Amino acid sequence: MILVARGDEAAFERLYDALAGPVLGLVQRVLRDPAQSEEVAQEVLVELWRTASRYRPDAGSVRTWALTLAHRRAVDRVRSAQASNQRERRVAGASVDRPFDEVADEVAGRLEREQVRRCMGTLTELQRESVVLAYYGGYTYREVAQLLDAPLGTVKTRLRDGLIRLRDCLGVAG
Amino acid sequence: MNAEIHTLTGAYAMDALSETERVMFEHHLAECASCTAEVGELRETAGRLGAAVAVSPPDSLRRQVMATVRRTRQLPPAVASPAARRVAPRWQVWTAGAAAAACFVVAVVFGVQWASANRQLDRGVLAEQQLETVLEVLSAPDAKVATTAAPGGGTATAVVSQAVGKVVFLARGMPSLADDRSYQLWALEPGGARSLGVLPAGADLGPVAGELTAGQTAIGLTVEPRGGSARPTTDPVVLLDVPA
Repeated sequence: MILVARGDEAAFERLYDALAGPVLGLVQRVLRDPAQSEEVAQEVLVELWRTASRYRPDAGSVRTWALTLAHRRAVDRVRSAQASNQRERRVAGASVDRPFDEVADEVAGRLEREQVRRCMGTLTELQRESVVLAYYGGYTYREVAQLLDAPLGTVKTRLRDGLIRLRDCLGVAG
Repeated sequence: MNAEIHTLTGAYAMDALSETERVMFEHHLAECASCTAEVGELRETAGRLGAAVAVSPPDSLRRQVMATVRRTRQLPPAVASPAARRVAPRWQVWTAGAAAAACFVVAVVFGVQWASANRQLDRGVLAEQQLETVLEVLSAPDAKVATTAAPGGGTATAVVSQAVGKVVFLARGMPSLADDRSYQLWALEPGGARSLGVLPAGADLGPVAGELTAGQTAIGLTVEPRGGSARPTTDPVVLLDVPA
């Protein structure tokens, strides 16, 4: 990262190799539309280059930094005013029991996927549905509550304790 | 800490708050250390969920990103915020003022010299040449010395002389590496990183002398596959800025 911050394009290419797959995968998962997803993923990856000097190792791993940005950009795109029409349709037509592992063309991180799938299985149904809709679906917790027909406070709590359970199951260091 | 607002850490880590709630929560985060720590962990967790849906990106994405990167200027480091600033080692003029570090380097260098004079080392001739360079740098009138602690343990020291055009690097008490890894020293220049050599295994590294070039900004030590790499493949464990 230090080399990337100093303008080393070769170092950035290595960063690209490590992060482009997860970034595009996550954006695509939230946005669905392939063309739009590529556009947003490109924005995110260029942003990593542009802001490399602002990366702080004490605030988390480089991958988390990249995926946090990717998720926010994807969600921003979903929530932007232009998309408001489409969005209402999305909320109305969303299916809650969409299988978690539906992305077919993944190559890397098989172990990672298996581990996440296993840990997802340790959640209660409401925890899992809330986390999947909020994170992979890009919905606000209010929208999640509406979709699941559950009280707001409950969804808020399930998002937190669901993630905490995943954190412990995945062995994320504090 | 307000228990009600604290339950928002999960929703916040997954970008599931409305814009107003997000701003309010970030306001709260600024003064709640335990919330900040929890958000960090939950973001790391969410990142794992993100990584689990990785796809193989098309080549077109790579081409577009690299082309855009080539014409995109990078942001300078955020020097206004002290937390984000890398702690720069303090370079001291190579005089009595820098006594502790200076004595240390001299002791090490003369220790090595003594060893090479008393034993037939395998790298005897090379070591002699290195030593001459090392002594040349140490005796230069403009020599400056800096010492920094490596995060995983150990201390690295560099002595630089612009007049001689060389830098001397040595480290003591570094973490030992797996058999298939080596420490490699680099000069970081505007054009990229230039290898100053792969260091023999051990906790004590150097002294190694390397050429300085105009515009060289730092020297860095990285962990590489055994035998070294053409370019650094990991972030430096030690990074010392070279004083102008």
